[in-house]
Amino acid sequence: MKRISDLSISNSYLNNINLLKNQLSTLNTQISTGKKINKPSDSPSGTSQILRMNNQISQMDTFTSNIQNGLAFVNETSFAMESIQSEVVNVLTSLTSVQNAANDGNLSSFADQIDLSLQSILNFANSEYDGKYIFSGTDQSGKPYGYTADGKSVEVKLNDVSGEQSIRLSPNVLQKINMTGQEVFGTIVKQDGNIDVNSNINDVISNQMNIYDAEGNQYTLNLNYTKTAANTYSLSYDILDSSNNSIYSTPPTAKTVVFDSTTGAMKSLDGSSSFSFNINDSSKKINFSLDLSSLEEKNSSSSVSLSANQKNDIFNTLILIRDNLKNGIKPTDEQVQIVKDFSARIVNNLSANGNIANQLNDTSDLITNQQTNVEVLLSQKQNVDIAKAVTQLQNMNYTLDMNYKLASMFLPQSLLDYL
Amino acid sequence: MSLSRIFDIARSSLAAYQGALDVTSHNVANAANENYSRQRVNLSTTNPQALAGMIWGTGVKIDQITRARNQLTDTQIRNNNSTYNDSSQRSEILSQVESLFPEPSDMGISSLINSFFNSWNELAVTPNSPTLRTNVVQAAQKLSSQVQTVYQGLDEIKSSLLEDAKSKVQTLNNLLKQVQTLNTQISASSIAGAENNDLLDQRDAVIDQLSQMTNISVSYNSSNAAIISVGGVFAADQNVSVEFKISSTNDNLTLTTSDGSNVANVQGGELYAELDSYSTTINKYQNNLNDVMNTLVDAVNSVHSTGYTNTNPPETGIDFFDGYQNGILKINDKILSDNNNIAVSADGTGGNGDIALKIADLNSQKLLNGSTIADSYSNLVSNIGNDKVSADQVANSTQLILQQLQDQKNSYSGVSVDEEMTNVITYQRSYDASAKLITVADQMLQTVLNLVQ
Repeated sequence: MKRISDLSISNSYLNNINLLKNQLSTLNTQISTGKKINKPSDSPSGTSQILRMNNQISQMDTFTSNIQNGLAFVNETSFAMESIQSEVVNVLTSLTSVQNAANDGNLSSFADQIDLSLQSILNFANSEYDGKYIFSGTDQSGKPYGYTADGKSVEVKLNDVSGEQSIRLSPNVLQKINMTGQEVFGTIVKQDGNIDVNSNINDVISNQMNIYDAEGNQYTLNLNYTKTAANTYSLSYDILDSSNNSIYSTPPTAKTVVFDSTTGAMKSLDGSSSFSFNINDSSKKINFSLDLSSLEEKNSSSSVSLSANQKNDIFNTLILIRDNLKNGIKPTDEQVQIVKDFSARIVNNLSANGNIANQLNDTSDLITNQQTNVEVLLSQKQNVDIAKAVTQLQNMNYTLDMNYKLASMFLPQSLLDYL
Repeated sequence: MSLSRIFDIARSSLAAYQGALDVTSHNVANAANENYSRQRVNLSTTNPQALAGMIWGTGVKIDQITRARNQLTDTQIRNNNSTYNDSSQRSEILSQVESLFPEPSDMGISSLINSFFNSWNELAVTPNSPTLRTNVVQAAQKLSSQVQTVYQGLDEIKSSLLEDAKSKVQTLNNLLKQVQTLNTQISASSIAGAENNDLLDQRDAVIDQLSQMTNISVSYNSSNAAIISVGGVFAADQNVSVEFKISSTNDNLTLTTSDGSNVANVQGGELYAELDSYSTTINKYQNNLNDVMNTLVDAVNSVHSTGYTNTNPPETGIDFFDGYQNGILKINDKILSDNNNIAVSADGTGGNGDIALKIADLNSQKLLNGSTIADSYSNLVSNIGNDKVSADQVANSTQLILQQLQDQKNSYSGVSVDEEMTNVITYQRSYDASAKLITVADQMLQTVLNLVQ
């Protein structure tokens, strides 16, 4: 039979009471903080998961905040474009009225109305939101549009208004949120067609088209692709005036165009994945974007062509119409068509902008759902079941009371009490 | 056969039971002394006498006073003491380390790393916003401050571990000196032919204390002196006690003899926990934190330096961080003095936030050993938690073993007041009977004397 010493009994009580108090302390902490995991050693893997979920939630908060900011910007863009469209409709109404012979004596007043609309459109083209010019692309150094020094025409005041502003909607999704000045107002010369993949080194493929300055003067744009290596071409270009004198030519180094050897699609332009660039000669009031994204390299004879989305921009077209009306000259059908085309372009851009807003709203809903799911998981992992914990606490308190009672009953007793 | 023999037997009996009661009272007095081993009186008959063709008993005597002690249990307790004190001390150290990492919470480095990258994501929406630029700088400053707090906290724990280890070595040296002194006294009493039970208890208590501090081995020589070695290095016998000290080489602490000639292979006890935590564990955590921060700094700088500032003219080639070293994360002074020097534009235009997006993307890229920066950090936190849990588990399991062993020891060596009081009654009754015997013998003698009258 095991011999029981007095120290054995007291140590046994102490050990049991200590164990219970440790468990009580843990439960107390859990109940008072409401969390099961208060330090990494409470659950190392749980801590790791909680950190990851907290990071996810925080990241989703940022995405949601980005979307709200983006939506505000997109809405302001819509407002500006709707206002421009409203002015363009006024202009088209005036242009229709001008055609009426009864108004021949009032051409000057129509000129004034068109001038008012022009100023309005120019103001909206320079709209700002949250310190950013809406249609200036990424260049925020000043107003994107303004009059030339001679006051005769409107020009782009910045080097480039085609920069795209994007926000991140998820770890893998970037969304463009701005309509660039180039998209809304600018002239875009598009390069279509294909270059023969079997062409020889130093072979040159050329094409040309007419372009116009702000005042409607005609020039010729020449583009030459010279093959330098397999799938690689050197692009040079120049602009000739009516006397065939070059007024603008390729900057010091020609651009390098590389096609994908498998798909034939354009792979890079000067090492970049952006396949358009801006040509701006402010002295000649020529400004347009050259878009090469549709050009391909194919196993067939070279066939290339250039086309422009507009002959002249809305500002300078309206200036020409206004000045002509002041001089008693009615607008040409071509000029009216430019205004109509611009109107259609604004409607398209409004639609594109609406799609961006829808995309942002949809993503916001998706993120909110995801965030709710992660928060539920986090709560399951992190939060203590208070009812369960309180019940456990009561049980332990009861057991502790029993231990104290037993200790107080048996510890002081020995044979001495009966002698 | 004479009547006086009865007196002799009763006298020896009175002396024996008085001695037995002395031992019992010594036991009762030490009932609550953890280091005391109960003592037992071994009674035996005195030498018999041959008389008238018969062998006559001559009474009782105390043959020996022994202490109840189980050497095997002692050895097991010391081995487990060493393991338990190593793991429980380690658990305390890791508690301090853990408290430096306030995870999971908003003030933890994990949340601050995420806030830092999120601030870039927000800045990408409005790259020229002074407020959002300030947010980026503030997020970086908060991260820098918290990393510094954690790193310095780890340094402070190391400093206190070093001081504590030095103080423990002083205690170790004192204990070894006590062992030597007790060995000398025990050997002397052994030579005189008597076991000094109380000195043996004292020496066992000192050896138990040594086993809490480090891994020791104990053997006994012919004169019953305990020969102690610490981590395989001879430490004490009845003639000498060796002095130890803490030596530091390349941020690595070792226990050596004071002349540095011998290095103890410390593998247990509180000293092991402190030396190992200082030399290995905390250094490992600091290195992991350094890896995380260096990766973050290199990744952010490599992207940031390709961007353009919001100054006129825009500048490029500017690092966001000046660098990171030993817990100090330094933000570029140019950025601190003017947040327009944050380079978030890829083309020099103020509204381009491509670089900010690229920096924000770093948060989800697997840049460090196949993990993201935030995940690498949470691995570090998880490792600290796991180390603490495993130290706690070892401490808890060895504590249970120790409790059982202690229970065995108490069962064998501990004083039971009930048992002692039973002995008191037994010895008292025997003493009473012996006294009564003298009265009876006296009456017999009186009867004989009356016959003579």
